[in-house]
Amino acid sequence: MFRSLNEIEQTVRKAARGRGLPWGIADEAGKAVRCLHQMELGGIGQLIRMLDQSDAGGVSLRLVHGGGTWTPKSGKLDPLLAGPSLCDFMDARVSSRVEMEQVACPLLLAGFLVNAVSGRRDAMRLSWSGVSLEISSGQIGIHGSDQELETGLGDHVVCERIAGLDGLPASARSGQVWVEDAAWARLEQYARRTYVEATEASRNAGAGAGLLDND
Amino acid sequence: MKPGKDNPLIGLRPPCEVMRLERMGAFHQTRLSFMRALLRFLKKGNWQFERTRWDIDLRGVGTAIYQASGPDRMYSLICFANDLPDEKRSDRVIAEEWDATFVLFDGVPAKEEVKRLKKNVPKQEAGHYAQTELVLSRANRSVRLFEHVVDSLSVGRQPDREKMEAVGYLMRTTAVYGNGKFGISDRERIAHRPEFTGPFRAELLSVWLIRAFTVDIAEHLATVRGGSRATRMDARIRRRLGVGNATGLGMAPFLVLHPALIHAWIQARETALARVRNIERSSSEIIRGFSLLLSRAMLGVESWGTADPRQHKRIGKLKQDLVQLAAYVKNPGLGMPYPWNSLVDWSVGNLSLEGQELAVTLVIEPHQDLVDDLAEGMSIDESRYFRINGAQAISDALGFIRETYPWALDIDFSDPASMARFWYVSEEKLEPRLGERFDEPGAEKEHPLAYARDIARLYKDLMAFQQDNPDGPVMAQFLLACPEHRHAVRRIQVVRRLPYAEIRDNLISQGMMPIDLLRCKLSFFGASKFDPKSDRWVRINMYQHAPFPDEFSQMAEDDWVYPPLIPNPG
Repeated sequence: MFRSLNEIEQTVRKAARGRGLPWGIADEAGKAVRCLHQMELGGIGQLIRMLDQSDAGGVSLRLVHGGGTWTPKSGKLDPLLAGPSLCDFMDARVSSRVEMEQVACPLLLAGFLVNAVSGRRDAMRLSWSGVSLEISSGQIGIHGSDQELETGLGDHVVCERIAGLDGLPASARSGQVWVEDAAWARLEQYARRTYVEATEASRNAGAGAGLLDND
Repeated sequence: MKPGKDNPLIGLRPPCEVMRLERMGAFHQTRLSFMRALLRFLKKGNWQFERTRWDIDLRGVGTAIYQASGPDRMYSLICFANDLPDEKRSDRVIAEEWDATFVLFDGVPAKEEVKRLKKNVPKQEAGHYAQTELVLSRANRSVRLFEHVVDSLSVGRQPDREKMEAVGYLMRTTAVYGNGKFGISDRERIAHRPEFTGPFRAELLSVWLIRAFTVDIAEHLATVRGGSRATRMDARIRRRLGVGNATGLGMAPFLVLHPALIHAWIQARETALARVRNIERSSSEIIRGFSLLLSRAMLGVESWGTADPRQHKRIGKLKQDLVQLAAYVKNPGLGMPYPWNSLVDWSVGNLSLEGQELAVTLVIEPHQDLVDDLAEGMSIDESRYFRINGAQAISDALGFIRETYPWALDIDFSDPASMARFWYVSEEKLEPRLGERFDEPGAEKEHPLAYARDIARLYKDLMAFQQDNPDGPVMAQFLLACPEHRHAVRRIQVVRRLPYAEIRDNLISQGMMPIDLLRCKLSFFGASKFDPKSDRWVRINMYQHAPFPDEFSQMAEDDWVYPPLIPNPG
C-alpha cells in the first residue's frame, strides 16, 4: 500500500522505540528512514532486517568507544544508535573520521548523514567492504553493488569528512511511497510495543469524553 | 533614538511569565488566529465559493461538493452525508460511524474520484487515500439543536434564539486530520502554496466549508419535512452558528512535540502585544473603536455558557473584569502616553488571568495595520532546529539549564505527586492518553512529554559527566555515553534558540490540567466558547459569527469575531 512520508517517519520512530532505543534516537531514526525513501534507497526493508536481528539479541543497544573505534558491547553495532552520534561527532568536528566495527545494516547510517549535511556544504564518505557512499546535501554518490550496499553486516565501516561539494538544493522526492503490506505489518508490530493496552477504566478516563453524544 | 517597531521601549513579556500552563489555559483568540488569517487571505485573493453538487436524498443521505476557487488553484470539499442511528453517535475519536464525513480534495474531482472517495472517506482511518486528499474529517449533529432547527424551518419558523445561543452549532467535528495521516498528502507537498503557508490552513478551510454544509443539510431536511411551508434560515441568525468541536487529549502532546512551532505562535502574539504597548499616542477614532469592541466582547462573553464549575466561575469573574475594564477606559481613560501599555500593566494587578489575556486580545484588535503581517510568520520549519550541536560545551549546557529551568530543578521528583501521571498512547485507537503512574499499568511505555523531569535528570548526569571528564567535554561525547538523554539535550538546544518553545510546568504532576494545553492551541486556531467537559476534554465553537461562503464577498473584512451590537432577529 502507498504510505505518506510522514506516516513512515512516525511509524519508524515508534518501531525504533519499541525495539528499545531511547526516544531521542528514535526521533532521528524516523527521519533517517524517511530520508532513505526520499533518496529511493528503500529504508524500511533494511530497518526491519536490522530490528529483527536486534530483537533476536544479535545487536547491542550499547556501544563501546575506545582508541577512536566504536564497537558493540556484544554482537553487532546498532546503526540506529551509532548514526545520531556519528552526526554529532562529524558535525561538531570533534572528529573528522570515525571507525566502527561490526555494524548491522550499515546502509541505515547513510540516512542520518544525509540529514546531517542537508543544506550545508559539508560532505562525508561512508565506506565498508566494496561500498563507498559520498554524501552531500541532497545527493548520494553510490559506488558498489546492490548486494554489498544492502549487506546485513559491515565488518569495518569508516565515516570521514571529504572536500566540500557545492551544496545542491535537496532534490529528494516527495509524495507517497509503496511499502509492502507484510513489511508495514512487521514495522507496526514493533511500533505496537510503545502502546498501552486499554482497560475499561482507562477507556472511560482516557480522553475523558462521554461515550454518547446525543445532546 | 526614538523607540519604534524594531527598537521598542517596552519589550516582549518574558517566557517565564507567558509559558505557564495556567496562563496559556486562559488565552483567547486574536487577530493572528489561524481562522481569521485564513479568511483575510481568501478575501484579499478574491476567492470564490460555490456548491457544485447537492445529491442528498430524502433521508439526508448522499454526496455534496463545495468548491473554493483562488487565483491559481481550486479545492473541493466533498461531503458524504449519512443517516446515523442515535446510539452510534459518539464524540469520541474512537467512533466508527458518523453523521457526515468529509475530504478536502486538491482540485476538482472527476466522477470516478468521487466514487473512489465514497468508498473510503466514510470509513475515515480505515480507508485508502491518495496524494490528492489533503484533509480528512467527520462530524456529528448536535441532536438538541439540529432537530429543533429542522423542525422550526420545516413549519416556516426561524429557530429559537435561546436554543441557538445555548449550543451555537448544528454539527461538531470529532476529528480533522491533515499532514499525511492515513496516507493522505504530506503537508510538505502543499506547504509552499500561498493559501497554505499559515499553520493548519487546509484543515481550517475544510472546517469553514463544513459549516456551510451543516446549515444546507438542515435546510434540506426541513424542506423534505415541510414542503412548501418550509423556509430558509435568516442570514443573520445563520451567522450565529459555528462548527462545534470536541477536543480531547489527542491534541495535547502536539504543543510539547512541536517546540519550534509553538515558539513561532507565541512570539508572534507577544510581538503583536509589544508593538501595541509601544504606541505612544492613539487617535480618538481608535479609542472609540476600542470602546465599541469592548461592548461587543461583553456581549460575546454573555453568551459563553458552560456546565463546568471551574470555567463557570472563571466566566463570572471575566464578566466582572470586563466591567472594570470598561470603567478603566472611561477613567483614567486612554488619553495618556502609552495608553495600551498602561492598560496592560493595570490589568495585571486588577484582573483574573482570563481577564488579563482577554485584555491582550482586545488591545491588539484595533491595530490591524501594525500587527496583521505577523500572522504570515507563524509557520516554521521544525526540522531546522532538530539537529544537535555536538560541540556544545557541557559547562555551557549546565549554565543554560540553571538559568532557564530553575523551576524544573526545584521540583522534588521523589514526591509521588510530582510524578503522578504519565503520557502514553493507547493500543486500542492509537490516541494519546494520560495515565496514573502509581495506579495503572503501562508507565514503562511512557512517551517523552515530561521535560521538567527529564531535564532535571539530564542536569544531574551532565554534572557527573563533567566531574568525570575535567578536560572540558562536549555534548557529542556525553551523548555517546548517555544516549538516553538525547531528547532532553535537543530540547535545551532548541529552547536556547527559541525561548517560547518550552512550557514551564511539570506535565506529569498530580494537579496538571490537560485542558490548559488544549485551550492554548485552540485559541491560536481561533476557537471560542471553551466549554470543558472534564479536566481533559473541551468543546469549542469555530467560525461563530463568521460570514458564510455564499455571502463572503459582500461582508466586511475580518469584523466577525464578536457579535454585532444591533440585536439580531429571532
